[in-house]
Amino acid sequence: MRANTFRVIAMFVLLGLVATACSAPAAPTTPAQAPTAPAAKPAAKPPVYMGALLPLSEPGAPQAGQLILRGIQMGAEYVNTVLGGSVDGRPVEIVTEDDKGTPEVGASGYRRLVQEKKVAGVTGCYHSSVCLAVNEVAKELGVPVIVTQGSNAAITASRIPQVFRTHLIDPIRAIALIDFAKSQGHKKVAIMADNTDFGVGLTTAVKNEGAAQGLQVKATVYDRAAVDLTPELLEIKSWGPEIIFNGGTGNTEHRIVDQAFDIGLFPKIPMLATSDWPYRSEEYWKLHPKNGVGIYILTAYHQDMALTKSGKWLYDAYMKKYGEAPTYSTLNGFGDLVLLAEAAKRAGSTDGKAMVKELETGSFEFWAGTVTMPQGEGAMWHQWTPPVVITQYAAANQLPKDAKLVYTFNYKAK
Amino acid sequence: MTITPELLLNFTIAGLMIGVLYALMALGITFIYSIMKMINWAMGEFYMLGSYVQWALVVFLLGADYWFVGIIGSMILVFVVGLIVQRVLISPMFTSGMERRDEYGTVVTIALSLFLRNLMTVLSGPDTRTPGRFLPPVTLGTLPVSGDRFAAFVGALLLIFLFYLLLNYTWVGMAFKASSQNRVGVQTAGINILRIDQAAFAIGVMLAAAAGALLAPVFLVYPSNGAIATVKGFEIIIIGGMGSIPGAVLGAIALGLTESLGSVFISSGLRDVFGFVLLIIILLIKPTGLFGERERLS
Repeated sequence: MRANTFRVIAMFVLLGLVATACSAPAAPTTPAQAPTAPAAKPAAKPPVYMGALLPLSEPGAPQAGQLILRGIQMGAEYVNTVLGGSVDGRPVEIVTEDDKGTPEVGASGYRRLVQEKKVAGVTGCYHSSVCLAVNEVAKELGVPVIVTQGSNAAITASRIPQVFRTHLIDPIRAIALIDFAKSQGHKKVAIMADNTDFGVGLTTAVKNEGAAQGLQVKATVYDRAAVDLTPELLEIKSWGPEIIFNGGTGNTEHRIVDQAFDIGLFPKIPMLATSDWPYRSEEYWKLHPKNGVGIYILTAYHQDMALTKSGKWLYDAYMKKYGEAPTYSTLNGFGDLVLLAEAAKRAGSTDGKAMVKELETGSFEFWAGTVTMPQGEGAMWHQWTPPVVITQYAAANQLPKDAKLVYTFNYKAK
Repeated sequence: MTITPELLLNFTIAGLMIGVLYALMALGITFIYSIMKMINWAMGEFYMLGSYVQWALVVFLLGADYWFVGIIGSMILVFVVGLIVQRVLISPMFTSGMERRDEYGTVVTIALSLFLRNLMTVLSGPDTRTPGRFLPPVTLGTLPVSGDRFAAFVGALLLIFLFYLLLNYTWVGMAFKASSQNRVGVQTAGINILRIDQAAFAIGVMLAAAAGALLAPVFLVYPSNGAIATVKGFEIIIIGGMGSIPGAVLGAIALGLTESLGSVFISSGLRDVFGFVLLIIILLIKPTGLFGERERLS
């Protein structure tokens, strides 16, 4: 009987593991499995493997991970079909790892990509805490990583030779947020963010920038796992802000919208999403069909922005494949993969040091312009900053492409 | 921030409301523990199941006007799931002559928790969902509250009251109480203890599902939404005393108030710490919890 009992447990654990294996929204592609991107014409050449390290399940932000992954996959397609492959014309294949938005999982995912899957480069980092954990492993293993959407300044300020970034850093994001608030005539700004590296870093940057610009800032950092944010929002309401920056991640950004609405804070007081999560528009409007109108969104791409040749290729290919315009997450994932493939091609090798040198000294066509990532000061180390735009959903069920452009920074129109 | 009496009242109301909702979760955990002397580590996943069933029923079958039917549907469905799970996975604890029941219960419910969470990710995807918002906002004193949250509060109070009636004024309730006191004794009185276990487990998880269904419009629906409910539930039963029903209710309200007021007077970033500080203080003063009793071992 006891043996039977343990058999039941064993079966159950096995079922759990099978379900876990099946739970990743996108099946990881390993060298042994079918490639994500189509092989180049001369298929006999061995592929160059590139790693995509993304949050594809909770407690990360799997929706964002999916959008970046689409871009990375299409980047491989672009390299293989338009650019004639990477080093020596070899096709690029993507190997995916789910970091679950968790630092230790991300660090072990990077290690697995490099040591087991033998990738030449890694991209896709989304959660700042994951990127920071990956930093140290990258330093040890020597394979370059391009951070797609991690914005904590410390990621590049740590000056690790293998770490590059093509995303907004907190101090610049804070400048844009405060500058926008000032342009709207606001003097009292509240920011709500979770206790992740992203949230804490952004909150600190906003406080500093607000003080420098003479604005009053009320910063509230809540626990990432919190579900009821009513006390925090009541406190903010009693303080009397003129605009609220919503710095939530995971699911809490949505609860902030709902719970602020419930206590009569939003939309009476305008709310600005500090990243582009409302651009996952299907989810956003399903969750906030009646209370989502009016939100401002900080992002790095707008429909009217001038795109480079590769950016236009992605736009058209994405429209054809998915029937909608790409968002910033997809564009940056695409651009970062092309950067890695091009760096290997120019270096004539997949050696980490050679690729790092190319990334550090070269200039590359990106979706939004020309990218250089030299050894800058502080957080500007290996950092390229995309344009900043703030848009607004002015009507229910708007798509990102229809969002109203209300603020630009380092932006070039079509 | 200046704390006005009005603001203090608002925080107190908010704390009370969330406390009552926590209580529903804690009741299920403590009820199962009191009967079977095992901790169900998958309780949060039954909360999650309840929220998903409510979402599916409202979105695909009932429509927003019949959201309350969805809650009853969630409770019934999860009750049935609870009966099956108990029969297949939990009852071997008592029928197989097992020596290490605690270890078995822990392993099997943790495995169940992983299984259910991942199963739901496979079935539903990682997207966050909502059954919609059903009721217009209401104002309690000076505190504006979502109508759905208020309905969840009232629903939780009603369920706690019904549970109280069940335990104290029905034959089944007396059998439950007797079973919690002496499992051998109730068998000598002709009560089938295995049936009692099965019913207790199903009722316990049904209460968690009710909490999930009631809170689905407020706290949203996603595969890991039960995790925090589990943590709070366990905090509460330690504060209130393992196996004590009044302890679960009072512990939940104490936790809700502590978190809400602590957020204001100290720091919202430390909200989860307050619960554990309360727990430690209670354990230092009364190691068995507010209403817990020392176990007598022969």
